[in-house]
Amino acid sequence: MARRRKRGPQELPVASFADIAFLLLIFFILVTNLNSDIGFEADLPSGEKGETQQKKAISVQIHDRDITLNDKKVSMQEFEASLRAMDLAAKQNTDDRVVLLEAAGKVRYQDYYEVMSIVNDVGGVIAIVRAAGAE
Amino acid sequence: MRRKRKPVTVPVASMGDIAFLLIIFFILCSNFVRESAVELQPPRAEALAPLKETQVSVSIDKEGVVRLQGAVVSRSKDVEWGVRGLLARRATETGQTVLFKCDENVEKDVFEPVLDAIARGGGIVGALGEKRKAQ
Repeated sequence: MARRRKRGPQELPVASFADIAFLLLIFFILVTNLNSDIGFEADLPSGEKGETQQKKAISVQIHDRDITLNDKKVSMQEFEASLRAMDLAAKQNTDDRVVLLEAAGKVRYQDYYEVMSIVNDVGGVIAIVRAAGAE
Repeated sequence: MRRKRKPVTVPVASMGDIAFLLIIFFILCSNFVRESAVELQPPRAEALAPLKETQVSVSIDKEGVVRLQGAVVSRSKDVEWGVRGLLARRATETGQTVLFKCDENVEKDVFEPVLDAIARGGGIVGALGEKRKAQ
């Protein structure tokens, strides 16, 4: 008479689980992109130049590669020094901290960005001025 | 007579659990890049700080092609409406920041309407750049 063999306790083969898990782990370590973006944040109130703004606010014009601060042509270093001397961060009223930024001609983003970052760093509020009728 | 030693086994049953916990950690930390194909050289400036993690991104590559969340848009009005729509879904204050990436050589006629559109769409511009060491 054939005797039935006694079965041992059944086990799931889990030996390869760790291998699979570590492969996935390596994949995620390699694709993880830890946030390394740097820059500056600016809440831009945009609009057309108004009468009251024209009188009070600081005005910056970029024409091609030339920077004009309150109708005076300056270099990037002079621009930063002049703006720092105004001590915008100490001013309580937001209107006094507004810097009107106007660009004309062939202005590269590099120059525009540098001006914006300086204004932002000294505590100014950037307001982009665009010609009426522009999209 | 010397007794025969039993083979020593290393307990590896918990390895899988540890590995899966690490995987879960990396999955949650991963920030998948949406716009890996966008080619641009960010502008350089000195006063930059790490940007907050953002959910909305607008980019302009070196060819001047504007993208919102990785999809090409043709007009700045589309950026404005897109940003407004995407931000309406975010309830938190930090969700108002829009990551703005632009190539350093892009000209004013291309990037200025887009910056303006982000502002009109209710976004705070988080302008991406690269750190330049002070001279």
